[in-house]
Amino acid sequence: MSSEIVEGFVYPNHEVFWGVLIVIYPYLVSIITGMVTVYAIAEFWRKELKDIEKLVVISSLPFVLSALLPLLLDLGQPQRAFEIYITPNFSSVMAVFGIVYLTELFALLGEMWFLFRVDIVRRAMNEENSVLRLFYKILTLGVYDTDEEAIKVDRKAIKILTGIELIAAWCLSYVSFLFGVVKSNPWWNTTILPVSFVFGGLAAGGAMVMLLYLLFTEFYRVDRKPEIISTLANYVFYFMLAAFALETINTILYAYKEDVAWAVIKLASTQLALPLAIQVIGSLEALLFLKYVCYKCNMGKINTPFIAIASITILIVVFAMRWNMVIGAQLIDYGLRGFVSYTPPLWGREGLIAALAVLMAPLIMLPVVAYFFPPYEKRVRAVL
Amino acid sequence: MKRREFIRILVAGSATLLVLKPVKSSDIFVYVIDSSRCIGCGKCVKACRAENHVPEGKYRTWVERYVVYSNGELENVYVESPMGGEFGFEEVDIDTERILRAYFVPKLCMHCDKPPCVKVCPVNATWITEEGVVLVDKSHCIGCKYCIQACPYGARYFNHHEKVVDKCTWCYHRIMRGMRPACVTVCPTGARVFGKLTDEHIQDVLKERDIRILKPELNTRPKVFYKNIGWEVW
Repeated sequence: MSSEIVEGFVYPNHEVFWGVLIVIYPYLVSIITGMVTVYAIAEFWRKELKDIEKLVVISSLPFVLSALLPLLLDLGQPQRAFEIYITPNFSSVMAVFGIVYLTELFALLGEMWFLFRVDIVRRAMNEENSVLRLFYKILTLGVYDTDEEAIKVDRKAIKILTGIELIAAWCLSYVSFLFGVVKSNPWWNTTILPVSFVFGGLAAGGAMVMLLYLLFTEFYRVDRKPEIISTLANYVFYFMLAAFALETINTILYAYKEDVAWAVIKLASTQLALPLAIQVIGSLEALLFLKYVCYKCNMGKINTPFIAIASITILIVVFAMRWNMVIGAQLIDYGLRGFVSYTPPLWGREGLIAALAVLMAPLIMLPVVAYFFPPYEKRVRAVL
Repeated sequence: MKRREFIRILVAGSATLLVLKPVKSSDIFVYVIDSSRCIGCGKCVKACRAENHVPEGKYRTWVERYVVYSNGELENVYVESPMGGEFGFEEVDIDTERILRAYFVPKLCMHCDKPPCVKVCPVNATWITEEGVVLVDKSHCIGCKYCIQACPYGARYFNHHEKVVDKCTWCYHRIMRGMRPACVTVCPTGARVFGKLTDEHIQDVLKERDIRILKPELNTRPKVFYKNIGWEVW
């Protein structure tokens, strides 16, 4: 990556140490938090979202599996990454996140197993392909009990695991603490940052679920339900509004206080003109579209292009927010007398191509997971 | 084994471990920089590079020049450190009439008593020694660069050849043999002073009123002290 001094004096060792990959890491984590929260809402509060439970769970897995990729690629010595579990420093936010990540992964796998257990048993017994049959037989873990009592136990286990997963996902989302605890960086060291980060994440995850709902219903030829879209769009609207409001309040507070860092933050912001414009204009546009989508759904109509545009815009806006937070803050030198620029390289481990591959990884994994655990299997067979 | 006996052994064992736990020595090292003596020759930077094989473009120590000037209004501050001050400084393009004060400030790792870099390292690859020196175990560092982000003094750098983080060690290999750090040894004016906190020459300096540390508001408790620097240095 290249960092060049744009203005003023910067410490001689200063450069943008965390590049585009570390933008993607909190971005993926944000999406996971949002998706898990949507699942928890469906499980505990909004019964009309029950239809998308399986879709959300199978979609969360590729994102959770991919979340470590950018971190591993960014490490100087990735082969030593496991040291986080062997010699952890519990005063380090990064080490704690390693543990939270494993909790999240295992809770999700457990939840998925209970949710799909009946399907797994059925396919373990009826699957025509012998290899697949063996695969599902292994997945049953020897439990073939699918009577009502067993299913009740499954539901109870799912509720407990959802609770654990929700806590872990929110803890993961507080990945912003990773940045927030760096007291030497004025851009990161604010109280609002972790909260706005969580709301941005919830909006991105919700938007991703909406987008995937459109794609999966199209692929499996399942009827879309306006009440699902309406509930999701409503949640995403308020999450996005909160994220946008908090980010704006943070900036206004900084500008008003005018402490020593503000002068350089103001100048360095010129380097972020595009992502800042995306953040502001995109947020407003997405909010308008979401309200329109809700209005239409309440009238029983589904405006697919608007839903898609709103969802994609939110995903882009939240990415821009993460970019501004991760890259923007590093442009400023800790001497607070100058700033550098950042241009990610195209190739290499920390390049744009690698970053794009990491971003696409969950979407590439998703069809594979969906093949083994189809969220709308029965409906597809009925249609076929 | 009876329960009472087991508890007795457990308590005795814990007490022994507590006694054996090394206590922090009060005989820690500190570093004092007298800015008024520094001539910005860059010998310290060169010596450090040679002694510690510091890669080109990276610095374990560097020298900054501060020029405070006024055009009739409040003070303006100009700061520079071309190539870390390794090859000295060119004449500054500011009217000498308008310069209020100008001086050099050598910088290096502060070997803080409450080092934020140590706190954030996820694998305990960086730690603070009995002598108060903050070190990095390069064979254990995973290269996450979190410690670089946490250091408010810009003292750490990423070694792109070894793919790990590196920093000033106060020439630990020398000081543990009773020698002084390379930068202190080569300084022609004695601007850099090194010793144990209890040493008389250190105590004399620390008794003076104009002794300062950098960024005290961050509560990192640096062990590098500065003499004769203005408010503009942080």
